[in-house]
Amino acid sequence: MPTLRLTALGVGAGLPVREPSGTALLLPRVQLRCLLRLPNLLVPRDGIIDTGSPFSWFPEAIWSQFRRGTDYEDLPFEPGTVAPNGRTAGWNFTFRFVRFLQPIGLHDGSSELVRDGLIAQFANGNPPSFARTNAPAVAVIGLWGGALEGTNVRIATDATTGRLTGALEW
Amino acid sequence: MTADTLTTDSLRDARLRELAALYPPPVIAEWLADRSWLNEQMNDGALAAHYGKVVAVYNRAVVGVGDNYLDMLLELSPKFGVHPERIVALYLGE
Repeated sequence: MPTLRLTALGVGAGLPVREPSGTALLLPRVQLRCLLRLPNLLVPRDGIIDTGSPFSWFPEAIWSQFRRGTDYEDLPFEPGTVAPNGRTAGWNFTFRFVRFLQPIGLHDGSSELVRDGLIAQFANGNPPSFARTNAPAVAVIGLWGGALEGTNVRIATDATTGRLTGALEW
Repeated sequence: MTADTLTTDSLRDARLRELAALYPPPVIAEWLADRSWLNEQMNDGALAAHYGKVVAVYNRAVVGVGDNYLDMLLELSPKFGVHPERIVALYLGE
């Protein structure tokens, strides 16, 4: 079964808690990420695997480099449709839907899952962390739209290190 | 965002475009090797002191820690004589 290794990236210091027995426990703060091969970009961008996000979405810092008509086409809302805001931690955003005209690759540097015709959201603006640091923007790979369908997300704990591990199988 | 910020960002962007034109595009295999190294460092907790910052990596070494990625690229690209996108950088946070 083809597999790509997801990176369990620590995104903050661990949170110490105390069990009723008195034992200290350090709770990790991780995200499962892969690399994304995207059209018209020289180097990959990070994608957060988030099955709690209804759709995949790209911040403006990424999608602004794609070419309309070459890399994607717009999927405008039907007249009268009131689009909800997209929501993520600490940020609400408006968006539009697009379909990619170029393949998108989810990869780990060696294995790659190639997706054609991905339907995704292009957010208007960027998350607060980007506005503050200009750091390379991160996309979210969500539940529907053609990225994760037909895959299994496997989450485990490494027996040796005790750390979370993740993989995408298809 | 203020007008001053916009001006500063525009100047940064212009300078980065100049640097990008000076150097060949990054070799993806080299970029990936540095990114894998960065992931290992993060998973080992070696970068825990830098949460909330942008960390830059080149040739399997941390070459910069800062608050603004573009400022770091403006310094690091000419310092190492490489295309700005050859510098692997990641914001350590959500």
